[in-house]
Amino acid sequence: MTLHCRQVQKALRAFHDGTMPGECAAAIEAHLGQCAGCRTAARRQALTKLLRAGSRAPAPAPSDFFMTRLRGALQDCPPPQPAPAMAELLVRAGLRLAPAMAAMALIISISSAWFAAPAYNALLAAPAEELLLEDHPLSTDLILAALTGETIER
Amino acid sequence: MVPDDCTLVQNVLNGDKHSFDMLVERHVTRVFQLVYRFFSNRQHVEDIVQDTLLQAYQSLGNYGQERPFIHWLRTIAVRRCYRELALRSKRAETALPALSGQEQECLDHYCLQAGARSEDPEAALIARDITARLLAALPAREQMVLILRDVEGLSVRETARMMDISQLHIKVVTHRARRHAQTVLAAMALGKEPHTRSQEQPV
Ligand SMILES: [Zn+2]
Repeated sequence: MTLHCRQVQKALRAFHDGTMPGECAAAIEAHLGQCAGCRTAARRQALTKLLRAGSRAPAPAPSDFFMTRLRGALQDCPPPQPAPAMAELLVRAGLRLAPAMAAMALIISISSAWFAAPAYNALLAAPAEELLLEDHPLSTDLILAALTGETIER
Repeated sequence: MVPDDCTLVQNVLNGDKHSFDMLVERHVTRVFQLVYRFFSNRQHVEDIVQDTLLQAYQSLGNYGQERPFIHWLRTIAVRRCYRELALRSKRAETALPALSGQEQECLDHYCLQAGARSEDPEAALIARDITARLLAALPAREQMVLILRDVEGLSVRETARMMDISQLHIKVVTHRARRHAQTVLAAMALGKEPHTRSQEQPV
């Protein structure tokens, strides 16, 4: 079977997935053995496969030594504070404060709850988002992809 | 009867520290495995896992029980890893590491053989080693997204939720990261490419 580079490169995905009939696969393999350009293309295409292969590497388990250290660190850690429920806040405010102050507390607690929801997001307000967005020519790739008709995978 | 995660969390909040040990026993391995996706150095993985669990303990009151506890833990771990990656990539060197002969062989096995799929743990370790170095050449956000999407196998939706950014943004970064990583991979392999024959050659 005679194959040209363009045909080979178009078929690389099926080749890597193993969804190609054996005869075709053998022809492509033979072509790859001969053609540096297609080898480079094949390596590019194989990225996801390589990442998946790496993910099958056995992960070490936490050692006993580490577990002992961890328990020690937890022992020294101050106990967590329960997040007070909204109802509880209101009751407390109502009981302890003069009506005017209670109204104030109500407003404050409602507005702070508004900004803090969901609570774990506020807590974890990691710089993740900022960092992810920094120096970001965000739309150029999308526009390019749209113009060239290239699909953004998955 | 074995208490479920929510019960244990409630016990901890009511002052029973021991219940947190049970939560740790139950989930530490999965957190460990997740962090190991990002970093190879054992000491480093351990430090991050410990930080994650301490942070989880202290902020346990903020765990909203609408999703599984392990998801919450994994989210804390991922964001912790991300901060670490961002710090590292600021001081990263730019030189691309060349592949050893064995690595080149492994890479070619995956790239140049039809439907190659190796269950051999040693080959998987080599693949992991190659990808770790490959990823280190990318910006932190791209590493992050590739690890979550292509190594952990998370969906766009799950990744977006974990990183607390939009799904569209995840798609864009994934797309860019894959293209970027493909170029790096080809360049790494090219360093070892035997002097080439013709570029356009029908067989
Ligand atoms: Zn070719």
